[in-house]
Amino acid sequence: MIKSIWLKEYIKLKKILIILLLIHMVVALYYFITLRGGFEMVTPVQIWLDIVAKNSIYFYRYEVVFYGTAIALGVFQFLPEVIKRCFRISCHLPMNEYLMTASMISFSILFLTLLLVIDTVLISVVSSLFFPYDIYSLIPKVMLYWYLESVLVYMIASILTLEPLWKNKIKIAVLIVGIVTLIDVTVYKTDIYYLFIIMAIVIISIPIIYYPAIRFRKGVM
Amino acid sequence: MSINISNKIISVEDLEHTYGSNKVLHGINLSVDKGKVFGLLGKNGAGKTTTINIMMGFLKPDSGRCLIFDENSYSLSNNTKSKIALLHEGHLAYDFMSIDETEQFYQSFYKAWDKEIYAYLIKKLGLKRSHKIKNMSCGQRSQVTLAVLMAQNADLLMLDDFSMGLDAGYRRLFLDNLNDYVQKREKTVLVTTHIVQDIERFVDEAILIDKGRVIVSGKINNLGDGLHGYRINLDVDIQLLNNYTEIKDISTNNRCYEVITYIKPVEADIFFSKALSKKIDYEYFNLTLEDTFIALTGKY
Repeated sequence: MIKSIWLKEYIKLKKILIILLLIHMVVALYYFITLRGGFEMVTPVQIWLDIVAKNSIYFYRYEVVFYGTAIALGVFQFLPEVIKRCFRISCHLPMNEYLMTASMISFSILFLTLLLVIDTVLISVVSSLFFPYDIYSLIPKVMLYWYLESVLVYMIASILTLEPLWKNKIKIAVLIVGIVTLIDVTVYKTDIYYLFIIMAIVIISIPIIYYPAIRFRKGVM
Repeated sequence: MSINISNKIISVEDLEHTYGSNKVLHGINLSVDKGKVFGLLGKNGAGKTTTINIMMGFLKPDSGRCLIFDENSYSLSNNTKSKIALLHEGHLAYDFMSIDETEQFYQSFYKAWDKEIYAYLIKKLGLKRSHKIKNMSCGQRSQVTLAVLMAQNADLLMLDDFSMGLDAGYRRLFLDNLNDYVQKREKTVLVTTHIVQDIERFVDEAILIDKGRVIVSGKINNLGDGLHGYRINLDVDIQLLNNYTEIKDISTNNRCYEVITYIKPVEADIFFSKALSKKIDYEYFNLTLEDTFIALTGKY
């Protein structure tokens, strides 16, 4: 039954998934071209020193791409369910409602995980052509941080889309903005400490989806 | 030792519900027996949608209880859900799916899925199985909806507003197919629609609710018991009839007035003569379900 829910989600999101996958590929290509161009103009050591000295992440655009992907998934996955109240039909399927909702969420989280793997491999391969190991070895950790943040963003987008009452949507949004402001860090996000914090927040955020989901199913309109 | 085998598929007792300060249900009672086709009728705002939402488990009543297959409708088990084919506000199929994908999706949830009946109804559409539901007309969608409903082979069909967006032909087609299926397989059906005349030929029993209260219930042919219809020529001034509580409705068409009243045919001569202060010609006519509906709930 979980597979059937995944099939439904795949059919619903097929076009969006392909577009998102292409965007991630294009970003990888962009970095390859940009880096190649940069290294043709400046000596590699200058660029490496610049990165180390400024503690900067040269593939920082992936952060925004991940967030955009998460928002698109949350909105395009749950909006069709909300518009015609199809979510209620899904809840009437002979399957536990909590499991059904979890199956829907897990589909998108799995897709984000797939993107994490693809992006990490791609950017690592591209980076390995231009950077020493010490620099590009940080990629998995940084990408993991952004991935976890994107899961959180996906949960927020899903909760807000599924929430039946506008008043509650605003309340939840304000609450979330407050929490995110508190936890947002601007440092080089590879510290294991931050990874654990964001992982804990993601785990806490997942069951919150049941708040709007069950209320939607039970007729809070 | 006695074994109590309940024949009741749906049992609703003293259902009450309030939205804010607006009480919309004032103690609704109804029961649907196995194998019956039951109609839930009422005007917009009568409490019909609230009642059906409670029955479908989409709303928890303030008080009273609603049992479906002896289980609380608000917390049905998966086994009981699999025995109910549900059409909610005219929607059933996900419009982003194709005909084939719809079948693939639903049959994984319903063990008794009937591939033959699905194929039979879909074939009538004359569309490719890869055709997306969102690209179909309302009528074509209703055919897919019906195919999904029937193929589930559920014991109970709950059809909320099946006629939404359908023209007369498709409504008739929907009911003809459904009627045949229900009769042959002895299914229990609960149906709601705002087009009353559609279900006259389809339901066995019905309940009519207005302002959250049951106005009348019983066999479909008996709902209008006590009410009589009289046609009076347009050239007669019948304004005075509006003063009589026995008169339940006066409608006008391009040929005559149609008066619906509790006055029996044997008393009609005397009544009309007295009420209009003159002897008039009139003609008795049999009431349709819609006439009864209007007479009992009013036009407003």
